Amino acid sequence: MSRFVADAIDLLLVLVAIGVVYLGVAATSFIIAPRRFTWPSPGALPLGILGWGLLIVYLTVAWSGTGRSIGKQVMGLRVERRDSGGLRLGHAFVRALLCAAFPIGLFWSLFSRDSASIQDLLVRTKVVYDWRPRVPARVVDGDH
Amino acid sequence: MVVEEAVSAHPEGRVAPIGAAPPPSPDLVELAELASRAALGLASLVAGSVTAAVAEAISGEVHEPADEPQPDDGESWPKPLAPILAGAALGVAIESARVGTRAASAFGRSLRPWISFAKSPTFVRERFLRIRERVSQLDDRWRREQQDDEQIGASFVGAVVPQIVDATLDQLDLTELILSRVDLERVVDAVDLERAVSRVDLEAIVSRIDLDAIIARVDLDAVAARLDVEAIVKRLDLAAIARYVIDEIDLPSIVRQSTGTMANETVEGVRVQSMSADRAITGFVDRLLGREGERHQPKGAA
Repeated sequence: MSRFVADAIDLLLVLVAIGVVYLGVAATSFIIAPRRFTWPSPGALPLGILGWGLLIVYLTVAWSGTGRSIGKQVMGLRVERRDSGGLRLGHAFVRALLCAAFPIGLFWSLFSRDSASIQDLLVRTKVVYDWRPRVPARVVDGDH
Repeated sequence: MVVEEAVSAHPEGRVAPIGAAPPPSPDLVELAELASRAALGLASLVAGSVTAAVAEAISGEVHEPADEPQPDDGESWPKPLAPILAGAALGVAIESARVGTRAASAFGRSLRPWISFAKSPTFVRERFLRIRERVSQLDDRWRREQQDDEQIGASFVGAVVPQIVDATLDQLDLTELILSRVDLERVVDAVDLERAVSRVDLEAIVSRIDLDAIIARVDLDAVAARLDVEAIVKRLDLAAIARYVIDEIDLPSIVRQSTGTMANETVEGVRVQSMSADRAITGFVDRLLGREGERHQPKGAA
């Protein structure tokens, strides 16, 4: 459930990014030729490719860095190798590519004994809870 | 005491023959006469001085009316007469002393047989023993009653002295006496106040004071009503104080911190809820698939 929510947040962010890119293109075209300005209509395929590419780049950067995208950050999850190490850039890219290509593979985690998705099984990764409940005393101590 | 010494000196009861001294010799009579004449001489000196002083005083008074007619020889008659009278009186006194001394020595000679009888050992011994016995009885009685008498005396003094002191003090205005007679400045200068204060245990004194009771007796409302709050506020630089407070408490930091805390709590809540949902879903799926026990998932797997 956490993983679905995290991925949904990530997907939402990518959609927002697509919208921002679209508005940016529109604004640019308006600035260049205001008189001939019409809202760009790129069609579904270019937008889909754009979104897919953004998603892969975003997930690759996030997983190879901290091991968590913004969605996983919110839900307190982290992607790790099976041996608990961090993912390298290529490793993360392959996983991102698989996730973007077969997002339905995520559902296997519902049935897997190891709670692993198809992508996890293919690239030998796992997703773990990685957050610590805040202790009230630390709030008082001003742990900031 | 005299009796005790006499007894201790002669423990066997024998008394020394006190009357064994020889009868008064003619030298003694002459000595008495000489002593009386010396006393008279001294008296004459004193009388001469007094007479001169009196004569001078009298002549002064007589001379006061200066305009009165005086006799031709210019001398007042009391002046030569006073010394003559004094000298005559002294001469009578000297003659009387001589006669008295002779009469006394003659009387002493006539008494000599009686005195020698009184000094005889047997006569004196009997009377001495009788006196000593009587004195011993008195002494014993005193010792028997000494404690009671002392107690009575002490209680009498204890009862009387306070009354006397009170009555005396009632008659005296001690405060006025001290203020008028005592140099208080000097007394205070002589007192080492620092040392006296250092010996005072202020902590103990303060601990014995019931401050709550004291404050309960104070009408704080009345005190507050007498305060001129407006004057106090006018004297305050409220703007400066506000700036100082804002600088000290770092308000932006507090806003950031509280916002961050709220966001963190929200995220935490979402995380906890999602974890519970994870567990519920996997449990449901496991039951659906007929699995038993926990999943063999890596530690912390989501």
